[in-house]
Amino acid sequence: MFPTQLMMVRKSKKGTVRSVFLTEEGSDYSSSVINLFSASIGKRIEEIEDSLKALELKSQNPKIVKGLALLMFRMSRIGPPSLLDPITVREVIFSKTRVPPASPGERDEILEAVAKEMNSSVAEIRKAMYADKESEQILLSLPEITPDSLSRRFNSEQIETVMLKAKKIEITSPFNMPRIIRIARRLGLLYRATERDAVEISGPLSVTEGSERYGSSFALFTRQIMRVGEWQAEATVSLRDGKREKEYAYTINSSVSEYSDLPEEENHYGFVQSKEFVKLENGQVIFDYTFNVEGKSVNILVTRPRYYQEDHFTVRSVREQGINAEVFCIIRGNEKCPSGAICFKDSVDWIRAKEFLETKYSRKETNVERGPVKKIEEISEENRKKIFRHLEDLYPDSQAMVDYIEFMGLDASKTLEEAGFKVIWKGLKILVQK
Amino acid sequence: MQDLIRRESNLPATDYCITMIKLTYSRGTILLEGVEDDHPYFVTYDNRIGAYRSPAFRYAELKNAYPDAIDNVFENKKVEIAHNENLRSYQKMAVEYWSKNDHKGIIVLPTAAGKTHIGIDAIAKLSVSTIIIAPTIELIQQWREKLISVFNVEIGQIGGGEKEIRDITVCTYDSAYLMAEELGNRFQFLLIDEVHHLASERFIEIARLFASPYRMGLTATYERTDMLHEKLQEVMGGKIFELGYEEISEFISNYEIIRIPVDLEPEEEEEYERNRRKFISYLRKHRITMRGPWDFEKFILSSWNPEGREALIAWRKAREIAFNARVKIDTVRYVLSKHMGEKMLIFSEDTSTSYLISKEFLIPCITYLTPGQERKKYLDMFRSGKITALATSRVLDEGIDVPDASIGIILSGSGSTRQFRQRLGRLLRPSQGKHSILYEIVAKGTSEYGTSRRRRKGVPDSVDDGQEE
Repeated sequence: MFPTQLMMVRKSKKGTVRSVFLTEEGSDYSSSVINLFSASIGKRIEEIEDSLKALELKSQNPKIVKGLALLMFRMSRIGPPSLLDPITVREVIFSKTRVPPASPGERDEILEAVAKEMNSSVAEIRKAMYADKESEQILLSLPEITPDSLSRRFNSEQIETVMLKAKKIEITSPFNMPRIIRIARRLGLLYRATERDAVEISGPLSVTEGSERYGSSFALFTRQIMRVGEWQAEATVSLRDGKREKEYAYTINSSVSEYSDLPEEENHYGFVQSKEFVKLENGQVIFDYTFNVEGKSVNILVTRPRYYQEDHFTVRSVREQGINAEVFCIIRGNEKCPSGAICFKDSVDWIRAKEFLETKYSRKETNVERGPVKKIEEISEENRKKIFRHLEDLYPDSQAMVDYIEFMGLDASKTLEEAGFKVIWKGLKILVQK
Repeated sequence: MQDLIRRESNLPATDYCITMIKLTYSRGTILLEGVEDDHPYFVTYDNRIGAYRSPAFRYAELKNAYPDAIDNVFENKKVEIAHNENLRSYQKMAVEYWSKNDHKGIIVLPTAAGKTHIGIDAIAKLSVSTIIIAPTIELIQQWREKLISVFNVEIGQIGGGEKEIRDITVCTYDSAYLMAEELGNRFQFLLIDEVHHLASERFIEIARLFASPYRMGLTATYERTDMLHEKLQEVMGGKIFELGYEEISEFISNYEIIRIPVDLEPEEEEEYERNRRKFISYLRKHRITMRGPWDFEKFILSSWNPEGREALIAWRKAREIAFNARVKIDTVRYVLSKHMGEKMLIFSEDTSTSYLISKEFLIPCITYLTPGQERKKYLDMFRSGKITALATSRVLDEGIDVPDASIGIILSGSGSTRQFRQRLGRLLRPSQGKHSILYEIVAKGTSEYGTSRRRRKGVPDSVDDGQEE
């Protein structure tokens, strides 16, 4: 996406806005920018920027030149003007100049001393002093790109740039809605079905205030849905209208898509990507996967810690309607498993997840959630060991230990004692000690 | 199951206490369970997830509304800290006012009045997890060093290439904005330095997404010309304490402000006039009057047509000539010789001038492009006296504390009084027998003169050469 100053739109009095795209007639812009870059190999960025300013001045629309140049810079290879390490060069220079030289002669003497110390020349030292500064970098090579392809990239970026200012998007798609919703969810966005048989995508704060905070997520969302066939989106975007912000409707559809579909995602050990909504009293939910246990379908959401609380509420609402649902949370690095979550490190361990669901939802164990039903003595030796080992892992988080035991359908006090822990009650709180 | 970890139940077992209200933090909001219809006005039902939701900054109000709620928002951890700093009378008074205001509010004191000490005392008084948010890497590093020396505990840092979260953590505005959803329930005390920046459209979200019940803002320049500071009332508690230079003069260094007018070289003057005329004639033709930032914005917006663009380029060129007049370099040389060995800060409006000064006088330069570690190194060298001058663009305008810096040179700057006062403030930290001088080098016969006059409005003790624009 471009910086918003490079956004090119036409606003209507009716409150709609549309992007100004580069068409074939405008391909001269792309050719000119590519030519300028081709002629600039070996030049400093600062020099190229000066040439671009001259080109902007000559062109009808300087924003197009700026945008195309930005794309070219992103795709080009640039490098420093000197092989000396600039940080070391500066370190040596400043270590010799406690008091700044008052005359050019004194300055040159210092530079000569630095050059000598670094086995280099004064000219090279001058070049290397700020060789890590972006404007000093040298253009080394260019991408192989046609004017047409550059224009198309420019257009995609224009769409994303408008979406940076979006507050919400209403989207319809006859065949690909589950996939679109999954894209939104993975970007941390929320959704709800609207009356128009569409889905409204927004961010958590959108319910209390119109925040532009999710603009970059909307822009990424747009980039990703361009790969999905047949959809139409109407975004509410907030743009400046004189001194104040005004909301506009921005409509695009899959005809702007110039890319092919993504390959179908694979199935994992019987986990099938959900394609249908689960209807609820207050709307509908699309899950990531469904899994079948003895004829019972279990709906699965896969989430990340920061989205966990919201997904937990969703799953709870679904369960309240008698529908089986689980939420799995992926944790990475040093992230903590959120309170109440079933967590996997880095990615879902499908075999473990399968075992878990089969244990929980098989006919024999259907009531596993309904409170303590089993005694620890009834559990096999091997499973007891596993449970005790996991309790050790959870210690000293007393609440987590108790919850885990209850989740396994066991009596908390007895199991803890059996595992070698002491249980102390403090009011309603349980405290586990060794 | 090694990889499968389950903690705290979200299973139907919780249904037994369904009537109990529960507060949970989620991505800059508070989710409420068990709430009935008569809830505070700022709580909204979110049908996307089937739960009630409130903006996180309302957490303290939610606690008042539901005192018995199960509160999962913060880990209520006490932080063991104390300090031996001696606070001045007005600093003590500021903390007292803030405490009486439910530990919320903004304290406005001139630069060099010791706002950091007020913050430190507040942190120790609360002894809870605290995040200190400041605009630049220098400032967070400065806070970090000060806190380590005062509390003798490890301090976290987010920003400047680091992400280390501890009970007391310093953080840049940018990082706080980007990570607000993640950090919003980690710190009970939100301490915002240079809080006038928080009022911007973007940064105000930091305060809205953090649930911190205790909040303090520190600034020398509360009021903004765009009036956005009014927004701080809701999220920070508004201004609760203010003193001016006159009231604390005994605690700051003596100073004088000297304007040095310099002549443009003939060809510079000619070039300046040509560009200036082009710009002015465009304004006249389109009846644009420059009375303030809004008018300038109007001009910028109109400049996307070829004629406007030419006018904009002409304005930039004229400004560049005035800012970077060749004779200014010689004047810097003169001031450097006059104050040889004294600690000096050289301010400019743009980064290229800072780099030019750096190359010309072989002094380190700190701009927004300078990596965090290098910035810290230069400031350490400057403080310890290993170097005696630093060139900088706008990044050192605020907050950095070098008590013995006594000479400042403004090579170029905006017309903002706030920027001018902040730059002056860098020289006002008191030390034995210190007399500070702030030089303004201004190109004669250019619009820079008017800019200089605007920014000095209301600043006492400035010596004017009587030159007109």
